[in-house]
Amino acid sequence: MAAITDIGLDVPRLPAPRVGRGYWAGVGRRLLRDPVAVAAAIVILAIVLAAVFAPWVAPADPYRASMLRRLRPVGDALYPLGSDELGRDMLSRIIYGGRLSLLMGLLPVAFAFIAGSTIGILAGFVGGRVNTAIMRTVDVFFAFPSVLLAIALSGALGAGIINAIASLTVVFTPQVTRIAESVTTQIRTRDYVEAARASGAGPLAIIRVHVLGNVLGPIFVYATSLISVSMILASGLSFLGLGSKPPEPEWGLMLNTLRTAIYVQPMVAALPGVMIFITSISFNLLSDGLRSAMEVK
Amino acid sequence: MDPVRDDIRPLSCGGLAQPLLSVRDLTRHFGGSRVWIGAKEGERRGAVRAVDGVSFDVAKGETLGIVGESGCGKSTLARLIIQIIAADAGEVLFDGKAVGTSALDLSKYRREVQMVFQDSYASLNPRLTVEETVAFGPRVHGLARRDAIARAHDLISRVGLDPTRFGERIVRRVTSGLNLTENRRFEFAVAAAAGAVD
Repeated sequence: MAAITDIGLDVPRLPAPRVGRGYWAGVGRRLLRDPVAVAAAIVILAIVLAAVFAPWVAPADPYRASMLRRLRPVGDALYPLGSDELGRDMLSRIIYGGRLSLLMGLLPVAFAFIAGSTIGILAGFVGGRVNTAIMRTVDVFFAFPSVLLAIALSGALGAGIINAIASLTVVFTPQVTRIAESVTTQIRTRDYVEAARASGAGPLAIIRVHVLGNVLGPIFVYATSLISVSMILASGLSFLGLGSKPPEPEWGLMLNTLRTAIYVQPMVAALPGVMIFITSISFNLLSDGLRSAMEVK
Repeated sequence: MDPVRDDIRPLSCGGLAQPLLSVRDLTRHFGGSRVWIGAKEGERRGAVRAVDGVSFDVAKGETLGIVGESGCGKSTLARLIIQIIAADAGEVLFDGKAVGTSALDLSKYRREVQMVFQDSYASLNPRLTVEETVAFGPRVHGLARRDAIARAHDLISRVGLDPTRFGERIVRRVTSGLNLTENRRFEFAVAAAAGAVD
């Protein structure tokens, strides 16, 4: 019985529980608790790793053709995922194809994220006539459907991967700019930005500490949702012959060259499309998970 | 000797008789169109006269309360005094020195005068940690991060909150768990931090 009082007297003052170490640690923790987002992240990681280490992962040379072994079905002894219209190993081509497809999905979005955030935050933070001038210019780009704009720009610049990336960057930058501007305009009128100005902080310090932290998250989430669109548009450009050129393995281009085999080997012909679908939906699910993980309740 | 003191008007600087804060004919109108001919300085036609020729003195050690119905310009007056928004006319003197002139530039003035905002949820950046929020003022006035955090901890404990408990937690989580008085104290630490540089 005496033990109770003993305990009561001897309990040392415990250090307070360290619940959170900053905002991003909390976001990471919530993201890891979301099974869908984790699954999507694992799929993306697997595709990225396979693409990066393609020479070691792929079972065969993606360029070596064989006229005798054309259009083998999925599950063939030599070709686990069949062979394409020139007898090249589909599994290897899909693994190698991830390189270009991911690059054309990620790079335009990354460039648009940098350019669009800069322009949008500037427009939102400065406000007034600068805002009007920038945003009305951006509106001009919204007059064109994004697919049409991408095709028109790629067509004008000429076929090629770099031109396709450039034209997709131009397509996505206005969209990111618009999001960045609207979020920044909201943040700019908050009391804490005013309080920061009252404390004597310059515009750069305010943007760095108070605006970027609150703005980059939503813009980033929006940008990740664009990755899937970018991959599909890039595949579309390649399909139309405006992106990568044969014999380069790229999912959109493979979809195009295999389209004639759709009645002969529908499973094989559909494979690149399946990959585009899996990758883009994984990016979308991850982006959704990120969005909910970033909501501070 | 002192360049700041040599520059001021014939008013005596310092001393108990010198009002700490003098507001002279402070005016701010919103909207409306500018009148160019035959108008007083800063006059606009059809404007909302939020603050219209306000003058008062606050002596050292004195507390002044301004009461009025909502929308009558109290907050605008506060924002004008701290110079977050520009006045159409009038001036603010701090200890005899005109604010925003060479006698007392804005950055020096803002170390002395700060504002605690009405809404404690909106006036604190929800994504920063508590210590980062308090350390922001000292940081922008040129203090190194480590020193600014130390200063922040000092201020947080001076307003009666525990820096080891709250320091590294993010604001949104902390403020929702604090009562109004504790939130006000936290805000007071943030406001006081701007002056806690030297």
